[in-house]
Amino acid sequence: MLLAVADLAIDLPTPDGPRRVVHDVSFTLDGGDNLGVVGESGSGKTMTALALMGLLPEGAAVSGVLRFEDRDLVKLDEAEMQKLRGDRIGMVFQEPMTALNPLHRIGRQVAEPLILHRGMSRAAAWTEAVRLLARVRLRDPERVARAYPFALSGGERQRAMIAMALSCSPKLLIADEPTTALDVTVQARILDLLATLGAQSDMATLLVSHDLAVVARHCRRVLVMYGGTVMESGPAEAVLRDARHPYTRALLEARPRAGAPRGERLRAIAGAAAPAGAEPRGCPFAGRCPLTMDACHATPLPTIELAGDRRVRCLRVGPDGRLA
Amino acid sequence: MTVPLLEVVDLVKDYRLARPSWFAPHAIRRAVDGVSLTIHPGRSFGVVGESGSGKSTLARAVMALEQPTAGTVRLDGHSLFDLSSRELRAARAEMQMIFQDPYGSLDPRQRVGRIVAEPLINLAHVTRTQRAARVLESLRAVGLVAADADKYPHEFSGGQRQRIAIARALVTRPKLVVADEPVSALDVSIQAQVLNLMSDLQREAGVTFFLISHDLAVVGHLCDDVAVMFHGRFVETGPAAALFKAPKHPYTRELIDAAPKLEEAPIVAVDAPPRDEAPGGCAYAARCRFAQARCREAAPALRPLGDGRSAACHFPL
Repeated sequence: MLLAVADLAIDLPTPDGPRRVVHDVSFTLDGGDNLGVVGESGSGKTMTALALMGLLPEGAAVSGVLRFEDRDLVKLDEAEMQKLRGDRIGMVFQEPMTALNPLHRIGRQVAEPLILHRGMSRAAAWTEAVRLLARVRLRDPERVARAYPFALSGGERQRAMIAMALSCSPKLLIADEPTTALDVTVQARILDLLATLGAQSDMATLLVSHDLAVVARHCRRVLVMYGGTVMESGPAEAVLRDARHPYTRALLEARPRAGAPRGERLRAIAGAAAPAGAEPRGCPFAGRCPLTMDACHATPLPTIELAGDRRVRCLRVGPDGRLA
Repeated sequence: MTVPLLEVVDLVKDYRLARPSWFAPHAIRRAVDGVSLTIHPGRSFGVVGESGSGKSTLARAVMALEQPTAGTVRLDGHSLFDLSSRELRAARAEMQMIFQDPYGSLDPRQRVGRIVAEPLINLAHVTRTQRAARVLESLRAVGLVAADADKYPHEFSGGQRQRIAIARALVTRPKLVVADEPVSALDVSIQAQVLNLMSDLQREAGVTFFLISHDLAVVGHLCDDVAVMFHGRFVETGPAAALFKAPKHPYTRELIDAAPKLEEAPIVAVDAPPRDEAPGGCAYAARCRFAQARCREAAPALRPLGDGRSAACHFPL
């Protein structure tokens, strides 16, 4: 087991006192595995990813267990966390322009983790950086290494950032909306590249996305989050083809389908998501959910284990896994 | 034949780039390169394309927010760029715009009622009393209530803010609404609410949309006719259903294949580094799976293929 997350809870400081933005999140990840975390804004997906990287906002309180390679990340101090980041744990973010330093050449930035974590000389690290840029299939890697970030296209920058994240051969790659800012044709290529690289090096990937289809295509397992907690999890194909949680179903039905008749009525989800932590005891989806009962507002979410390594958290799901 | 609602003929928009040195001439980038289109009342028209394809520049020229380098835009038979500023204001009432970002497009210091009323303020023939009634009518049309007029934008969620932006666009009872990525900043569950609202407005209020989007499913959902834009030009046009079902241009095919779908795995084009673009040839040739020698020599013109469809390709699929 590479990563085991158990009962993760995150409290963020607000002027009115701490607010619980993530609670009851548990999952595991093996080497070479890939897990998609899907959710809308405010679902807690990004906070979960930031907790794994030790990059939560100042004053955030984390409880639960984040066990990575026999170490509990919750107990590590910043210096120890810094040693892991960029070495054992690689990171790719949505907007490469904010993660890359605009004043340094790409080659230097890709080489930096190698100098820092591997103690390589500048020259050796530069050579390795060029090799990494070729590995993410950038055209003319020597030119890219000498270029500054502004001179590259969005797709090229994202490839450069992936090269940087992979420089020390991490065991875990955390990618938060890595292709959201890119065109669909570029997105497809980048996601394929991530999958290939993961398979080649037995690296586990945690892909955070708002897009169910992206996760369906690229992840073996999926975690559907809403209001700070996990609603449903399991093998991606099973969850998305035969969703059991009313929220997952609603999310699937709300998408416009390519090739559907023009003006076809979409099943919109009424209302808007309450901010995470607003429903402290009951189900965060209660009220918006068409199947809401009185109990949904007040009863802690049950976890129902289903065959095929699936979990659903809903009062309306019976022991047989069917919605009642 | 009825007068088209909107007619764009041979539109060109050039931008001057920064000079490489003080005495060098400005380089020119052609963002829109000879685009023509016709929108008939009641037939919504969608433009799909990737970033940098020129689709937003096209929308801004249609709204007369940008002066084109060449070409004509006619609304109801009147050329927009020949109008006096007073006439242009009146013409603008017939066509309104919705932007992508429901956070940036609403003034946070103004109450919703005032924001929605804004397009009416320049219209001399609408009295104050009428104005209040129109604002209310518009808010109701998008599913908001009268009391919402006294609130500020920050009191609303993203989806509700986009409703406010749509209410503002509808308040002049326009014939054409230009919508540039109206749902791409919204969560999936909220996106569906706004798309349903836009469908209702088409059906019940007779609104015709000129929709700009990178999302094929969104365009297919709302539009009767579609144009696919690449490097400033339309490479394929036609009725939405037929075009998405059996694309004629290889670029349209690539866009459809690359869009992530739940139903099936996308077919990813070979991840080969692109070849150099041949000047004078087809702009897509460097990426095209089917490119032949001729594609690198001459740029194909958009030509009709029957059934209301056209493609700019020497070897349509």
